Amino acid sequence: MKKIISLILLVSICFELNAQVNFSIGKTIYPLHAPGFATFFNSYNAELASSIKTPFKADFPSANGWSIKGGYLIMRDDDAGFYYNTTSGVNLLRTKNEAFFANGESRKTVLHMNEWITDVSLGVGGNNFHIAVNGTIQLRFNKVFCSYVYHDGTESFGPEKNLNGIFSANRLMGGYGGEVGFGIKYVQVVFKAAKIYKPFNKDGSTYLNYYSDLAGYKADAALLVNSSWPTEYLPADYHQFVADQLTSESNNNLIYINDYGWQFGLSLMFIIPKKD
Amino acid sequence: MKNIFNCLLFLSCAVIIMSCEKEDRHAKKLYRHEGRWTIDYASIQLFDSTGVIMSDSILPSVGELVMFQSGSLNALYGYRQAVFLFTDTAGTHAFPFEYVFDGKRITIKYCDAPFEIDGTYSSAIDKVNEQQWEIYGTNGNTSAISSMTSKFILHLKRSKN
Repeated sequence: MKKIISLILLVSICFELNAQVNFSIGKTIYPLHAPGFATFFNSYNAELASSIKTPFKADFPSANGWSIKGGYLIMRDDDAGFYYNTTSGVNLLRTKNEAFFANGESRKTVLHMNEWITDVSLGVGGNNFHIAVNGTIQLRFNKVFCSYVYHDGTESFGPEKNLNGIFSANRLMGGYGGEVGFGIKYVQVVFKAAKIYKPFNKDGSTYLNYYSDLAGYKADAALLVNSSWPTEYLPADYHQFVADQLTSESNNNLIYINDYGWQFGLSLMFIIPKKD
Repeated sequence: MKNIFNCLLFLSCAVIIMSCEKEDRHAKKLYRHEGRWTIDYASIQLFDSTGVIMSDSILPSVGELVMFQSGSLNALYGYRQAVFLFTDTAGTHAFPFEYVFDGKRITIKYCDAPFEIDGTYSSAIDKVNEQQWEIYGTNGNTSAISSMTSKFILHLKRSKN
């Protein structure tokens, strides 16, 4: 709700300031490097090597998805002046990695990255062309859907498999890069590239950053299954996890949001002209 | 121009709303329209080691689930209140329980009905008027790779009042 109120306030203020409101919709691709997941995938492949037909890829493949943003900009009409654009919106990215076993079943991990983004661009340009450098702040809400797929295609999130679950993690991320836009009058095609990094808390020591499944499904499931305790945190090193689950958690053998890489976006920007 | 602006603003808001509070949105599917769901059928399937169905027992309607919006004692974890209206030859009996649903899983607990429905289910069908929840058994084998030996299915349809 806070986000919606902020967006409405932002747009209302822009109208009052006589700035040019713009909206953009586009495609984003993020060839991410996620060290925690890479450790998990590689150790999982090694631990179950004798039963795996097609192992996990070494890291998550590129995430891709859609972005929709709105904001306001200040520029001149002659393509030669100061260009300033600040936008806010969402970026919804998806990627998956799956290991197939010799018995026809598989372990599937699907990563959803829902980002609330605020971008600021500074450069030169106007209605037909602009080039700018930009900074971005992303409030990231990630979820990993970790499931076991049986021979008949049934996808299980149930407690009968220890790793099954929906693991969430949040983090504030930052980025910097550049953008270039071409267009006619009120519509521009914008290509953007931003390098994503972790601006604060580089060691990921806060539990908000860890992929956890604390929604209450797991604790109850353990009581019902009466077997091993289902994990509430995604492990990084699977060997260590299998050897001793409790020690694995207490030794911080956990995955947290620490991905990095370049994020590329191609979007259509619609500019609403100034009030006369 | 103002209409276009309003339209785009509405679209942005819709996307923002869709991108958050998903658990509430999924739970809402269960409790809205009076939250009454008829258990269309319950089924237990048993599989052999090659994945072939050995037996498939189907039990026709055993009653109704009434899902409420109000939180239970475990509301901190998203649990809500519900009632299982269990029907047998002696009539219909009400058994309260708690549930939590995130679109992929549903956990039901504290239900004392003679027909056992407690457990953490995976959601196989998640539609406005139809739900299918399943529990998979591996004969106690909790290793990373182990085939399914049983499947318990609850198939629900929204009650027509």
